[in-house]
Amino acid sequence: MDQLLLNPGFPLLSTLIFLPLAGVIPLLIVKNDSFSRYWTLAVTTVVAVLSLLLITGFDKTTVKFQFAEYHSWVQSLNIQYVVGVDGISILLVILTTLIMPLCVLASWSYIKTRIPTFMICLLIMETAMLGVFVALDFVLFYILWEAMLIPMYLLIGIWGGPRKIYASVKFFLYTLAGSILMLVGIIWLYMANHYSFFIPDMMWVDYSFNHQILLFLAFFLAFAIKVPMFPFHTWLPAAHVEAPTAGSVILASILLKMGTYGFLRFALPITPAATVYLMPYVLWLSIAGIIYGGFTALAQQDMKKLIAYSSVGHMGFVTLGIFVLNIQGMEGSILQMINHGVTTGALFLCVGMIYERTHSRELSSATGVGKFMPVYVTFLAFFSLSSFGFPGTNSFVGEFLILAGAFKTNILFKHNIALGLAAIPGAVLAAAYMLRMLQKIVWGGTANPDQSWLTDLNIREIATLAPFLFFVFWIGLGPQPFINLMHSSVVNLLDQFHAHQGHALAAAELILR
Amino acid sequence: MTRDFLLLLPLGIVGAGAILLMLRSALGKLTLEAASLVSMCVFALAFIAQILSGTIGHVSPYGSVFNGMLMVTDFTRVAGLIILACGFFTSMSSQSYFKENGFATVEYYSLIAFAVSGMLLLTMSQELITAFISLEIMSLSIYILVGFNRTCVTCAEAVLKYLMLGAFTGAFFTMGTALIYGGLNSTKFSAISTAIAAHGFLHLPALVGGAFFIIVAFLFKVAAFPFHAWVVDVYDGASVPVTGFMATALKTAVFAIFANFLMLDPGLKSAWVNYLFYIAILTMFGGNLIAIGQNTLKRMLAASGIVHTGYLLIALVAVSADHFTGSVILYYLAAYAVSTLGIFAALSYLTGNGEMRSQFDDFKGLAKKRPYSAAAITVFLLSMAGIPPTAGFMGKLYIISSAIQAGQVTLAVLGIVSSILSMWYYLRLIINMYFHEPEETFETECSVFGPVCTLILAVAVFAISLYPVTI
Repeated sequence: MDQLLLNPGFPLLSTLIFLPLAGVIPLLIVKNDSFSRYWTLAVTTVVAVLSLLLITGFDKTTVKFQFAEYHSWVQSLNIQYVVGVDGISILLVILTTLIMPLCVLASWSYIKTRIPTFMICLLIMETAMLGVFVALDFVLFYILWEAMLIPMYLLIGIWGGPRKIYASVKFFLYTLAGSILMLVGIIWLYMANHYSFFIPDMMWVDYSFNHQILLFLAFFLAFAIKVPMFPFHTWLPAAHVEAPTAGSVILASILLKMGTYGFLRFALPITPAATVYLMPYVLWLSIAGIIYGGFTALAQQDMKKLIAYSSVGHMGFVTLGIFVLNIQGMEGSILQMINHGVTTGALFLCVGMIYERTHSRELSSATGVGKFMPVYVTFLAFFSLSSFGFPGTNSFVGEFLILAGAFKTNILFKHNIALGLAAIPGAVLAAAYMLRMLQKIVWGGTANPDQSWLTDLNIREIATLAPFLFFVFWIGLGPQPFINLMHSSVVNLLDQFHAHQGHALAAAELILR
Repeated sequence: MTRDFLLLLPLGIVGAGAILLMLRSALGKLTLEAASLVSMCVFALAFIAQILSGTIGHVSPYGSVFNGMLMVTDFTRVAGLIILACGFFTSMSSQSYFKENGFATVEYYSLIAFAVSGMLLLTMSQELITAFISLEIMSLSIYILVGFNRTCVTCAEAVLKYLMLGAFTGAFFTMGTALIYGGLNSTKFSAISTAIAAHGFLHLPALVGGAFFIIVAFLFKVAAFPFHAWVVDVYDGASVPVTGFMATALKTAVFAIFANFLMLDPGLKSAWVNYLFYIAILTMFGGNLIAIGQNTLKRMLAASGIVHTGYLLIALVAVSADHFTGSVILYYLAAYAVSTLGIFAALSYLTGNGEMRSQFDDFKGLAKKRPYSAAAITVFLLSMAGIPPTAGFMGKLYIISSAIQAGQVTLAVLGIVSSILSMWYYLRLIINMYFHEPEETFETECSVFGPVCTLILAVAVFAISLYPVTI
């Protein structure tokens, strides 16, 4: 309990979580298309504005969970309703709340059938996603984590592309299979912690090494599938390609972050010794993901697939940053989680806007669009530059920090620069595939196919993309406010980690050397 | 004395209601609607009486009169509540079902009440002959209910299979009883328990043999591997509400007596744990394999019922015989009953005349024509699959926790793997309802009862998940 900074006044976090859910009720009653659009936009905007109160009230100096609420829920099993944010989760909460209204805007004319149902799915998604980032009770966390699958499954399955059924079932079964072993881990922890599901109490307990390894693997599978780490990524291209634009944006910007958030929140604090022991494998898997994602993206003709595979690469950078286990890498990772959410989300929106006009995602059918849609390609160019980490954009800061962390890592690697060097080609590949896409879309021939009938972006679409561009440059030019928010929590995480890894480290070095 | 009366009052109400309905039907003055209302009232009254009779600990009502043949505990009380609720909702959804299918008579409702009274007695019995009698009261009523539609060939097949195999089961049970009586000179559970405590289970050959036959009979009734083969055909042949009733109430009653019998003594349980371990695994995976291959909704649900029996067997393996409360089993039974009854309630008005919509493909596009029904069915399916935040998830959480607590981590993991497999066939129906275009209008001429029943149960799925009552 002393890890919580209880919030005595207005229950802000609960309001954020349950407001979207309450917003579902009018949609069940009024079955009107334009009402449901405006209503959902209003609800998500209110949530976004309210979430900014989190930033103003956030205490950057403490490492406790703030805005915490604590209520008992199921007494017989000792399940509580506990929520709270710290420096690691606050940025993800804000990212979620800010992206949702933009998803509604992006679906304004893209979704043409069963609009109220679509909006209901979006609102339930928002509740579940926010809940996952702030839940501090394992049952609450698990419930929301799994509950997320169903609206996402419906989003892909109802409003998706031609292979929607294959993609949605693959997404559902893959993620379910991953997270279900986590449940066994959770219950084991519950038994080991005097029958309590309270997450902060489970951290830094020094479970025995063998138990830590098993726990780590149970959690790792769930999170690695969600991230997705190579070789657990095969559901991602299918789901991304078939999902409607808003679904792709939610998947890329928020759902993927839950895996990396899980590593930071659970794997590191609960199983520090196992983390150190298994760290080299995870790092090389990350490198494999970076390189593999880059090469595969280079070969794609479908723009959505291209961006989906680029996600595999970018998320490889994020896991790399987390598992180098130093301050640069970790802060870079958290920042890169936000960056990837902004940049890739925006790129998916861009592809969706082309798709709405040409009904094709093929790179070849979008050649030479630049001549007729100047505003559009301006946005696209900036997001592409951001995607491969051009200096001055947001991803540069994140990737730079992560690479710095990779070169600096000295746990088990003893200042070996192989790791950092191995990640460099990923950055080059990113430039290659992004520039290839950009070159075709902006400067490709305009005759085949004929693009002259295309209209440029309208005000709504510009309003959808502009906030993303704003963050691309804000994080790119002045990242300090964002890093300040997370700094104390990350420092505390690392301090605690180094205090608890000692014994395991010695054992691990003995085995590895 | 008043308390003893109160404890047996629900059984009395249901028995009296059954006889009353049977007599009225002989006089021919009761319409079908009225009969369903009467039976709903009977179950509701009995349910309230059962709640009011609150007990703590073990009470043997009219112990001197019945010579300790009956025992009411918190476990049997809650099992009785589940059974009565099953009876209530079955009567409710039957009302809608028989708006479209015309083969019912008033006796139908009377037989449901008879079956329920047998089940209530079964949960309370602490003596083998009583258990046998109540088992037969229940089974005979259900045989008739399964074959109620006399013009239908699959019903005739179902009732014949069920009757033949059920008769074998009865014979097994009596054989076991005879062996135990031969060895111990008593058929009372308390005598068995004392004998095991005095000599040890494995030193009493008559008891070992008798327990074997009796447990086989129970395994048959709950459709556990390898006694599961009948269930798919029988569930398929019975009419929708009856199938729902069999899948829930019968399973609750038999699991109650099964648990009561197995928990008589730690010696008995530990002798069976290893076998039940393998039976549970085979039941789960065998059921899944059968369910994956089905194209008919009812057959799929029947096979998924086998899988759920497997989960319940995990709970049975994991419970401790020393302080047996059975709350895990009861919670899972309640969660399973709510979702299964719910889906059968929805089917009872959606299948239409002569159950013309029975295949997976017949439900294509339901979500567009009847969004609320489709949403309710989705909720029930997700609950059966154990996806949060439904009751089925909480049930699974309880079972897995108790398995891990009992050191049965293998069972816990296999149970979870099995629940992933089961997603495959539950998702199939959701895919058909949501991701396809409708091919028909799904118009039904049902009464308001079926949809209301479905709605109540859909709310209950969330209610008992988010606010599980402490038993």
